[in-house]
Amino acid sequence: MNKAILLSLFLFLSLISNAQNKMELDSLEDGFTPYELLSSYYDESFKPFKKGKIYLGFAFSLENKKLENTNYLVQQVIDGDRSEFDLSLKGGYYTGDYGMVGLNVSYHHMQFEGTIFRSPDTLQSQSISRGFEITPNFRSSVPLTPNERLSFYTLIGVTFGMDNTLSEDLKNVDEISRVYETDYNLRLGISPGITFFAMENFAFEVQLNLLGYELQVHQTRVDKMDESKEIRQNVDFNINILSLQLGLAYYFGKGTKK
Amino acid sequence: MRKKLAISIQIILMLSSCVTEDYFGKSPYGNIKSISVSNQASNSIISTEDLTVSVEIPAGVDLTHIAIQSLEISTYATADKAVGDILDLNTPGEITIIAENGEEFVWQVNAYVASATPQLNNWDLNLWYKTPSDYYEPGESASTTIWGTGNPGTQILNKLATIPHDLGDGNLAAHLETLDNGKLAGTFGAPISAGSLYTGVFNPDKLDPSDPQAAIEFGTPFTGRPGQIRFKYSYIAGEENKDKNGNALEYPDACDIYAILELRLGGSTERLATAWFRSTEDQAELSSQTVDFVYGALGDEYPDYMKPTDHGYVSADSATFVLPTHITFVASSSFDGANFAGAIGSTLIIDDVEMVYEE
Repeated sequence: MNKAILLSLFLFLSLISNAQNKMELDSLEDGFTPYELLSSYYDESFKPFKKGKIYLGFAFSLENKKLENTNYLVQQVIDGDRSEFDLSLKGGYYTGDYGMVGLNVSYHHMQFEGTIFRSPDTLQSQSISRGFEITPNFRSSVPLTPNERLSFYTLIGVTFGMDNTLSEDLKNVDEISRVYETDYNLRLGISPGITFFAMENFAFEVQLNLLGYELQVHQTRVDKMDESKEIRQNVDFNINILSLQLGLAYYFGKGTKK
Repeated sequence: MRKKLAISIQIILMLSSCVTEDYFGKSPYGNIKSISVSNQASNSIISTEDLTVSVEIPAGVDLTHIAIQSLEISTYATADKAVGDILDLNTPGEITIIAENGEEFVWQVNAYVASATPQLNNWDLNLWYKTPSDYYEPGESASTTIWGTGNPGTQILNKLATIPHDLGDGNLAAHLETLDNGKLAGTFGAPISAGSLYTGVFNPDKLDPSDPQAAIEFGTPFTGRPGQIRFKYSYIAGEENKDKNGNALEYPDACDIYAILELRLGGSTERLATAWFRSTEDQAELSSQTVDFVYGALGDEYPDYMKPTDHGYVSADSATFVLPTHITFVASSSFDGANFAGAIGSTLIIDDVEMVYEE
């Protein structure tokens, strides 16, 4: 697992460094610095938010942890393996100038298996968590520079999410404890953000949840009984740095550049 | 086309993201973890390898009518017998356990005649097993021992008031010492941990820091009628005997060593016999002590602490011949340790707890 991550990272960095070297060589041959080349691109009728444009965004994270004799507050992981990944896809279509109808889809997966000591017992523990979120949304952009390289946007979206978590602990040969949790999540929210085109049609995006209504339903079953249910509703209107989302997007379509 | 693609992606995500409750598979275990039956003379012997249970029944008991009094099986498994069901143990009885995954396990319950002069398992206190928390408890293993200590409650404070004591040549004894729990525990009303040893089970689910005895289920099956109890002990009382609030007491600390025979039938308990030894005197060397069992009700000549508080005695007639069902043996380095009163440093070493029968 770790090898796969390192290999992917190595290939990714190799591609970037190769592209960068090629670009530097090309620009030097043309008599432009890389900065001039990148900046001039946006000065030639660059219109990324024009009707008919397609927007694609993608983010993912991958983590693998090997734990040995690791102390936590209430337990010690004697030997364990934890893997986790998050995948986020964004897509959209500009139905009008500066107005986009989009769909964000994200998926996450976490799995743990190992031996833990939770006083007074040593447990064989395994857990898995999987969930997804789908957010149909509408986004309107306001350019902050004449060449539209830097822009502000407001995203209004409805998120529906679902998450299942199963934890199973085994002790004393055959004593099993199972906790099964299901979470449903519905959110209507307004999220402002900033788009900055770093290189041609590639853009960095920063987004913050600002105003929203959220409905969360949390169901728990312990040992196939003792079902508990918690319904939580909140309305928030605050700047929460923890809700900051960073991403990379690509804009393409006819007439991205005239 | 785009709509179809979007809908397909959503459906795939929803299906793949679902984790079912049986994702890790259903439990394959169908064990009997503990079982007790009526008239039992000692703890059941359970063999998960042979799927057998051996129960010791005193001579003269009707084996065709043995009731299951408690039954604990593997998690998520089901059994075709329940508490209250009757077993005919003239021939091996059968209990079928069905594991969560559907696999069936047929267990055999065998009865054998109890000794008329039983001793407590591990009466010489030579067997000690290591717990997952890295300290020792008396007995061969957690699943078979009849002995308990207060350590499961005090080890969270890093205190072990009962530990094995090596007398040499492989002979172990129990070392009970009253320990200072420290100022923080003192502010919560638990200034000391008295060393304790008893027959019974420590149930961590009933743990109450303000009541050390709340988590203890005293007693183990026993069907003998000993005339006396004999043990080896040494005792040094701590210098300052204090109550739970730290106030000095006018009397010295004392060790408590006692055994109680009981008749536990149909949910009620009756006292059959009492043997009690409480001593404030220092006994530096390990020496043998014999205490008589007093059968039946205790008269006014006996101190109140020896008498039952929440149940009565067997009738005077029954006291002359009836067999007990349980024995509770208790030893403590501070007699009032349950109320957090005692002298720090009081040390009791006890060994060879033996039942003495008339020839």
